[in-house]
Amino acid sequence: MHLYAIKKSGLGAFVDSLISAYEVVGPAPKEFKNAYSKIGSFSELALGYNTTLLPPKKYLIPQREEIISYELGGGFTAKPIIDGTKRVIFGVHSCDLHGIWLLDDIFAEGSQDAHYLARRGNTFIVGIDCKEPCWEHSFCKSMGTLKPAGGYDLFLTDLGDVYGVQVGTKAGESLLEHGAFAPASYAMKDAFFEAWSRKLSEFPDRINFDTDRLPALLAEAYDDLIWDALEERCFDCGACTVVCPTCYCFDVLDEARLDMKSGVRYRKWDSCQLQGFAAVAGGGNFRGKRSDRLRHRLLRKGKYFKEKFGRFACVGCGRCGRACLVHIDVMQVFNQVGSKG
Amino acid sequence: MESSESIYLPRPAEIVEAVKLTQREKFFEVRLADGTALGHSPGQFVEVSIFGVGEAPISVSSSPTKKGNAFELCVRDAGSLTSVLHGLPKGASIGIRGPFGRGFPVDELKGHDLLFVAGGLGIVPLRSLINYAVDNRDAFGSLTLLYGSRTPADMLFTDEVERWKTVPGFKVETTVDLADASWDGHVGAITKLFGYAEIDPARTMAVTVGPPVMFRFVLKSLLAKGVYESRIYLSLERRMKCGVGKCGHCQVDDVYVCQKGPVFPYTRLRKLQEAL
Repeated sequence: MHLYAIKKSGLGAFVDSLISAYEVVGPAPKEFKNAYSKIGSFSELALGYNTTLLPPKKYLIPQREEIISYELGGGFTAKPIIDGTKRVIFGVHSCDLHGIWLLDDIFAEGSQDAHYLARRGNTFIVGIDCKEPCWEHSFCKSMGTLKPAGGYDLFLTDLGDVYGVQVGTKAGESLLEHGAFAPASYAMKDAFFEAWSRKLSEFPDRINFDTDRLPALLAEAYDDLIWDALEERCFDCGACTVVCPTCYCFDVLDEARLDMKSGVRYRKWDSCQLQGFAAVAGGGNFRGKRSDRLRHRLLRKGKYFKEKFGRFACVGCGRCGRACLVHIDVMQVFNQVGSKG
Repeated sequence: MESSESIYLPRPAEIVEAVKLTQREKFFEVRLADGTALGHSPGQFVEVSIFGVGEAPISVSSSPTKKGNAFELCVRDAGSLTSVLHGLPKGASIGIRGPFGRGFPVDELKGHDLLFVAGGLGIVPLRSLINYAVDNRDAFGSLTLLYGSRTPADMLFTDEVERWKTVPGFKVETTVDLADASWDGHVGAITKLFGYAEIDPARTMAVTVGPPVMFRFVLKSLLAKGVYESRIYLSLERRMKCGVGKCGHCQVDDVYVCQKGPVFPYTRLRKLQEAL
């Protein structure tokens, strides 16, 4: 394989050079945690972070994204709003790369979503290896997301004094001119493979069964009491979907400017866990029960996308389990579902 | 990966006719501003846009065989978009996206007797197929419509229903839940009308649209009449917010109704646990 290397002491100059050319966002301390934020210099980055509060999806599908501007008067004129910001998302962990990969499929499949695809096309992604399990809620290894499978332009692996750098795309190659990269030595390559095999053995497998069986197990559990049991705890607050790297459902709303003659149509994050998500204007609600909504989310994560795209829509990051006020943990639910055999 | 056309951008269109049909429903004839035909097939839907208010999925009620390039909608005043739409006059401009979804399987229906079963607003999308069959009368065997409404005043397209009765080989039976002095027809649930329908299971394709509560009873009646499961089609109502398989609102289990539906064969729906 082709591997580059950059000295750790040279990473700051690389990032600062990127900042001079692009908007750069990355994990930075926020209160007692880390959050993806726009950074003004390398020193603001917290590259040893465990996991950010929100995944980097917010740069590809912003919480509020204006998609059409309109003007009224003798009918209407409407124009799509396509974001052209050249942006680098720096320091993305493997789990979140897998999340972005799934979003890529979702928005490119069938009717192509130009708003997403433009953002994605304008975004460079520099991933970074996490060296140790981030917290007790994460189960990336079980979901097959311990290693990136693509979706990055560059990917950094900590090899002591240097980072080993994998180049995933032509765009990634073009970023190399911003820093002092050199082809990795044989010793560095050895260290790289050793780092990965160490990681593979050190990270825990927190799902108690072969996840290939997960879709079938969830199908079997469709009418189980487990959903009713979870319903008694769930507040349907939707926090799980907000923090999920693969939750993308949205609502579309209009906002008129004060002149009432112009405005924007925007989309905002929505959640299948909220009570009115599947409600129709006539008064019907096709998923009015919390248990049905919980089941829908879990089956999307562990069954539907696997069947459609060949990959789970759960990357095992554990954010939802941690965000849940009543400790509903996807990992635990999967294990419960699997415990029946 | 870039594509500059936004799938969310509506095309301008004009309301060329607006007629109040009942207390709650209004009929609109709409023409795209560029003069082209909508190009829909019976059973598909469009997203109707009013900038400043929003967007909502609405069934196309006219048949593609309708002359001229206008198409028809029939809309209940039931939400924020539809209530503003009801207030729009003839000549007003609206936005249209679509047509979207899979409609009735017209080619598979050809050569068969057709049994239409409509409950309430279900007549609106079904009308696109009924008029298609009437306009291509030779392509189909006998036609039967069973149509149930809450009250006589809620019955839609009453003139057209009368006209259908005069089409050769078209049997029309109507019923209301609550009759008044003006009504001398059947009273009671739509299932009652099956007693008046002559159904030859070997030749019949059944198509039903109505409120969710109706489906179970209608399915039971259809099966009791011997109709083959593989020859029953239903159109599902769901919140098809984006129409293009992205936003997630219309999903039934793993299926986007806006993409794979709204019309489904019963043999497919019986495997989707959230469908019926």
